[in-house]
Amino acid sequence: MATAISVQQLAVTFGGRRAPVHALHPLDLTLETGRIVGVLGPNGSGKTTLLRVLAGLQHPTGGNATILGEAPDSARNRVRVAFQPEEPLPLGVLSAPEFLAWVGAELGLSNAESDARAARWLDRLELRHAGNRASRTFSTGMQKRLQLAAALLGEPEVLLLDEPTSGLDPFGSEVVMTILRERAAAGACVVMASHHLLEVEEICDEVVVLHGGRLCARGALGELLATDAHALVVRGLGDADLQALAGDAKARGGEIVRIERPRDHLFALFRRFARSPRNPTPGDDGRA
Amino acid sequence: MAARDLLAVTGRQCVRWAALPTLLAAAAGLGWLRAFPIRLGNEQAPAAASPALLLPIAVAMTVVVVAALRLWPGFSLRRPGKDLAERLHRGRLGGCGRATLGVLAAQFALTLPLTLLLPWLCGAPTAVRARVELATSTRPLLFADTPTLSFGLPSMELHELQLRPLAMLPRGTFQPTRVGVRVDDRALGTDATFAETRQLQVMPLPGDGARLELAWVEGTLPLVFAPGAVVVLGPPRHGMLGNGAIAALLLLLPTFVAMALATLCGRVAGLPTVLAVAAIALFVQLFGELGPSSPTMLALLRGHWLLAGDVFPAALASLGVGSVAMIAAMLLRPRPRR
Repeated sequence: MATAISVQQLAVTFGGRRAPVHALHPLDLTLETGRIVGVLGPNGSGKTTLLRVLAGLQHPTGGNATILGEAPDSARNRVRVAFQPEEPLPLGVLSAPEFLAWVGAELGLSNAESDARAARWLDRLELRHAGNRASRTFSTGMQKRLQLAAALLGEPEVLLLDEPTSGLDPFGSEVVMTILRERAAAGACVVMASHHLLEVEEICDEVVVLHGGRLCARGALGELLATDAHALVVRGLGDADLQALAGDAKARGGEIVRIERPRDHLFALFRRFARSPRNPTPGDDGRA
Repeated sequence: MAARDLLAVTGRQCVRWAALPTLLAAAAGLGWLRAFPIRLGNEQAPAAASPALLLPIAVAMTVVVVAALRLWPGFSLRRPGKDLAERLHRGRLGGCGRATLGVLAAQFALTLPLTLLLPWLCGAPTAVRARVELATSTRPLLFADTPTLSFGLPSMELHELQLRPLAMLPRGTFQPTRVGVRVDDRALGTDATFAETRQLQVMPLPGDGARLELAWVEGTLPLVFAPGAVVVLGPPRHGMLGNGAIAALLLLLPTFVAMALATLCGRVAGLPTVLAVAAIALFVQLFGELGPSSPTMLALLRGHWLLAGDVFPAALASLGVGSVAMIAAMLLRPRPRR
């Protein structure tokens, strides 16, 4: 795996000399291609500032950052690096296909290529049904999905995503996470700032934890979350056999922390009882 | 078909927003002129229709400017979508240049039919005739003590003479001043009589000649024939279509100045301030006689060739102001924000 993002002593300070606000204290970071990296931290910890610096939208006041070997605001990185900000879309009067056509033209794609990719992502992100509605009338989730479609249009090598799943329903989140996994498998470096810890845990290969603009922890998720405990998952035993197994474990010096009946995930329950309006089950409307 | 470029996106949105208001304003202006026609004797006075016809132009300018400033987040600080807009347009103007071109294209599309059709509907001349302003080498005062003024005539076919002198206070009891007109010592049919300042008298000319002479006959009003007061008209030289197209182009300049000042202001201010600056810039240029809009409409309705006379210098001044503001906006980079 090659280095996608390299940051050395990167610092950002807002305000004047009288009342400086240190959004990022000097920070060193190296992220590789083919990985999904979660940037975690409470509000005001510097997540968005870090992403904006990497997107070339914020000039650092100290240190430097390179993406794919070039400055974040280089002309080539305009296409190779995609940024999905948390704020709403510009040009809200345009429909989803019009918006993607504009983005494609600004990225330098040919009309045919742009239209083909736009059609693919509109299908994939389930935005076809929006038709020619202006994007400013979209729900938050639809706007998020359109933002992601715009970010993916240039087939970037680095994806910088600020809260990519906030406002999405569970189906939308699942689609987005599947796409991000695919992009990482294809060799892209995906950096996502998020407050959804479960999603980060599910999808990210490594995490960067920021607090007060400082790097608190960084590493592979498996290493950071590892404990000295082990779990034995058993299926098909009755209560008596289970008590016998527990007694055997105690006899061998182990400690029984708890015995519980595992629950299904909430998402599985959601999928069982709710049906996505974007994906009606055949037969729902009495015609299919 | 999707508009892909920012220029096309902005242009299309501006036309969508401004088409109906412009049409309604044009109908209102024409309706006003039909209801309250302005005439000089039995003749139509097309130049007097200028304020009513400036109304739809002003509406088109205002709406396209407001539409563009609201549409493109690069025109002001703290607008939703500004980050994505900045990433896709990394030029010195951050897309504001292309959006401004879209605004100008939209306004041209909206005002060209107006500048082509409205003069025709108001009875303006159907062709632009050759027009030469005469000046005398002596003091341009005509009265009993300086009873004649001479002017050299241009070497062209001479169709019509227009006299519009300034009148000074009467010396003694008021009596209109009568002026005899001679071309190469041949008197024209009747004398011209002036009872007030800037009074227009139109006289046919014999076709050719080398020297025009104005002679005081009687009256107590001293007349000053300053530059522009003596004009000879020749044969038709240009069609009104060309003049209408040039007028539509010249009328883009107030919009360009407003957009340039808005772009400059937007480097340090939010949308409300930027809208206020653009609106004030347009208002001052449209109704404060600064810039080419009023002289353009007057010259268009009088059938004057717009690339001659005093319209073009006013247009160049506006172009200069707008260009300086745009260059300043390029130099003033947006401040990093949180």
